[in-house]
Amino acid sequence: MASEQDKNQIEQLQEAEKLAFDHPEFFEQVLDTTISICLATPLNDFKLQFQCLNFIYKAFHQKKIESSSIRIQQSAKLIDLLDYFIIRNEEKSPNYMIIQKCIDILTASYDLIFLNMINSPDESEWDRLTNIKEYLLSQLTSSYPLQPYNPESDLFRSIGCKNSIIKLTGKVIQVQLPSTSSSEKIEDDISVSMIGSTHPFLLNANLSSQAQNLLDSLFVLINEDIILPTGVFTTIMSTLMTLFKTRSKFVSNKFIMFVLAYESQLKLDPRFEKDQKLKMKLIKRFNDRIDKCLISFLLNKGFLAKDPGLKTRFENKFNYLVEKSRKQRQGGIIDVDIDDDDDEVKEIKRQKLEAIQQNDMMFYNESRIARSNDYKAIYTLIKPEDQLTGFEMSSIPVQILSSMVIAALSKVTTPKLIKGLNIVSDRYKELTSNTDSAFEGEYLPADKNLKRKREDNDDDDGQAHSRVKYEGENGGGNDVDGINDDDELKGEFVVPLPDEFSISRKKDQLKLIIDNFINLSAKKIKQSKSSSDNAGQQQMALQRVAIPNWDKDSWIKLLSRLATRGLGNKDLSDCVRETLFNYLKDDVKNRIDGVIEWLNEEYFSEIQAKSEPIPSPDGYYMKYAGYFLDNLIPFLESADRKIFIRLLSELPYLQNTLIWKIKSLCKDPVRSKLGFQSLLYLIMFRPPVVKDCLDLIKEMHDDPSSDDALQQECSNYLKKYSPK
Amino acid sequence: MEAHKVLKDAGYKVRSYGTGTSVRLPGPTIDQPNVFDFGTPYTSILDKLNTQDLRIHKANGVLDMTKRNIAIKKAPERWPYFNQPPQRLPASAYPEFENELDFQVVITCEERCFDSVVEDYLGRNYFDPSQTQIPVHCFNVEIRDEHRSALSGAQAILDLANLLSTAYQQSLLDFSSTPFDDKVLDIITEWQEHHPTLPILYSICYH
Repeated sequence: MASEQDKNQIEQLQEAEKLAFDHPEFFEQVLDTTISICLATPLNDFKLQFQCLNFIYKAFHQKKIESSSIRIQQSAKLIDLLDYFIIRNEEKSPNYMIIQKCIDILTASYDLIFLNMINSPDESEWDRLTNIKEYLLSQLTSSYPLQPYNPESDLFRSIGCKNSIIKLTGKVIQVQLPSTSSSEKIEDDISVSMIGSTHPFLLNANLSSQAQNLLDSLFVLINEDIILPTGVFTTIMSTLMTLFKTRSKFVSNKFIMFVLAYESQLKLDPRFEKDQKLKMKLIKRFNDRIDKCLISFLLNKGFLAKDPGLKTRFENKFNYLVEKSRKQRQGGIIDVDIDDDDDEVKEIKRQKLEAIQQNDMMFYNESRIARSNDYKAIYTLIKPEDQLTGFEMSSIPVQILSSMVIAALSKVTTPKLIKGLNIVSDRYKELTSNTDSAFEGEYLPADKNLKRKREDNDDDDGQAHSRVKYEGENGGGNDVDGINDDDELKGEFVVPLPDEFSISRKKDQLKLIIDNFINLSAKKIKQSKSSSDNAGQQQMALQRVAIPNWDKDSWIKLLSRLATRGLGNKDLSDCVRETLFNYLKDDVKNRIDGVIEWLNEEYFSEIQAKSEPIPSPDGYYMKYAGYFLDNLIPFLESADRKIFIRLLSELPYLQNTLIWKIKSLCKDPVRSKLGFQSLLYLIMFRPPVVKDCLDLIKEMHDDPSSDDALQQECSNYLKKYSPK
Repeated sequence: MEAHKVLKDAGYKVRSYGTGTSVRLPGPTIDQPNVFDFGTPYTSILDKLNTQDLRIHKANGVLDMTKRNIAIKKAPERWPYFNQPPQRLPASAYPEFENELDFQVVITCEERCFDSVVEDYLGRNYFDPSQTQIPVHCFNVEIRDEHRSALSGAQAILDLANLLSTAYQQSLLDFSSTPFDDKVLDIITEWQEHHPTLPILYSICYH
């Protein structure tokens, strides 16, 4: 739930974005501000960060800033931002959409920054950029930024970010391989060819060699034995298509031969996805179709015209794919039991499978990081959706359990067992040493502990206390298990202060607390009744504490004190007030105690800082007293006399605007009596408001719209209490 | 066009195109089809049909189809092929679209059309390497070109659009949920299981 403040900030950013795109002369200023806001925003405030990154994405990736010179000029400023999200906060559970936007921004700006570095060398910034780039490129086959499972399943996860990394790979290859074209626009083909021989750190040969390796890695990926998901496969094809044009010398042969040789039937399903037969069948069908489209494109656009032999092979492959597709449709798309493989294909697949199974050491969940702080997360190696994860092992008798464990241990290969144990061990270590987890903390030096201990003792008037053993002067005599010897030497372990919440998170958390209070109030609480023996004692307590005994309405006192005195922040106090008001107004008649309790708190809180006991007309007391009367009066019935008069008698302050709200009661023929009884009560028992009550009666008396009965009633009151 | 109507009625922003060289409708005889240029208003097409044997056009549904199309858009348009003269309505007819390729999803209804669209995108990757590389999810839902199939096919397309839209909205609302792109293949599989007679194709393209 975005807070009001966040919404305002996002709206302001949207306005700034519009200004920058409508008037590019302001782009630099808006970009600088956006980057600083983004860097200053807490990591958990994704919406604000996303808005900032979206602006940069539109400017650089979607090229909404059309001027390439402006984009080139400003591009180096993005390094710090990308470094912040991708490198510096790598371990703080990066957000998926934020990371994807960052990768896209890097793809759109890598060549621009590269050109910047050629013209104005800055080695330290280049090193930072290289660091970011290499980190991202190394994640090509992983599930980054999601936590990993295993290499095969991870190919099917984080597809959006994987596609972005593939596009980044394509851009890096394009920039770092020499260009052969002579494009009119510099921006269109920035490459290592532009580097001068005297450049201090950009070395043409090194960059080209890295690009060549990256190109090879793309071909290795598409030639994997495991089928690639269609999104990844088509993104690689699209990227190679661009490189086929821009870096033809390096790409064309490999690309053409791959398109000709690709055969989805020879690919294996990921071993943990074997139950998803239809999905795998569809992926193969889709990938074949893209291959067919590529063949058709190459044939129709004349790429193969110079080599008739190759052209014939392509035509044969095209016809083969058309026939295969036709057969598939005839057989029914969703019939997964139809075996599409001929004997030759089966034999190739069998050989591949055998080769894989000889080295079958894979677990589904091979993540070295536990997904949560519990033992289940540390020890689970199987698929989260596996039914075994829900099986209660403790229900099996110990003897059978032992037999199962022994059978499993005798069956598993030693290397696989070691691998599994290593994964568990690594997760445990990571969890206990992770600086970002709840385990972070520090040991206070022992002398400080002693000092603290002495202070504690002084405070407690020498009372004996049994706190943890490091405080004891008896040298760990209370140490039951003896495992804390090291800790004792280190001193007291102090849990670190948590990161400060943003105001929006504070409001969210506060709302949770209030809602919880309200939910609890609905439950029946066994009220602790004071016995006659301790009545006197309780009388004393009443003079000192607000809640001597907990009852079902005690939480209202807590909340009202929290709103009026406990929170030093207007937004947060308003949040409590609003929720409290909504709760009480739902059933004012039965919650009248709470209403009186709260309004008295508001009144007291407001007047204590004033010289006279009159609350401000714009203050919370007047506001909510008015709201409650507005919510109560229309629903009052004659039988509610006691409730209403009690409210009027116990409200700490009344004045004419509040009293005037009784007018509607008096003018209602059915409830008129209730209105006048209330006024009578006020005239008799609240002298400060007598004049206001009589003024109201006089006004009704003089009002031409009042009927005779009302005027007569008013007249009686006026004769009695205001004879003049 | 039936799918256009159904999607539009469901609140989606929609544009529809043909992928051939011209608009071909059944004519008075099997060897005399009615051929129109893209951009010819449906009202003009209706006028031409009215001059011919209306019994045939009523019987094959062409007359009703043209009347329905008049209520949907002004004229048939051609897919914005790279480097080819535009044969579509002016941009002012679609203020909700930023440009001619401002789509998140493209759905074709014949494999031939799917191939044309995918090849066009691949051609853009090749011939215009400086392009922005914005992804678009392309699908084909194979529908037989006759009235009843068009009605059921349009509903199936709406189902697919709703599944995709729900997953996409969820990924925007809950940043910690499974990413949208990871769900697409599962959505397609689920959809195909419910519509076994409509073979689907899928690809991500870039422009």
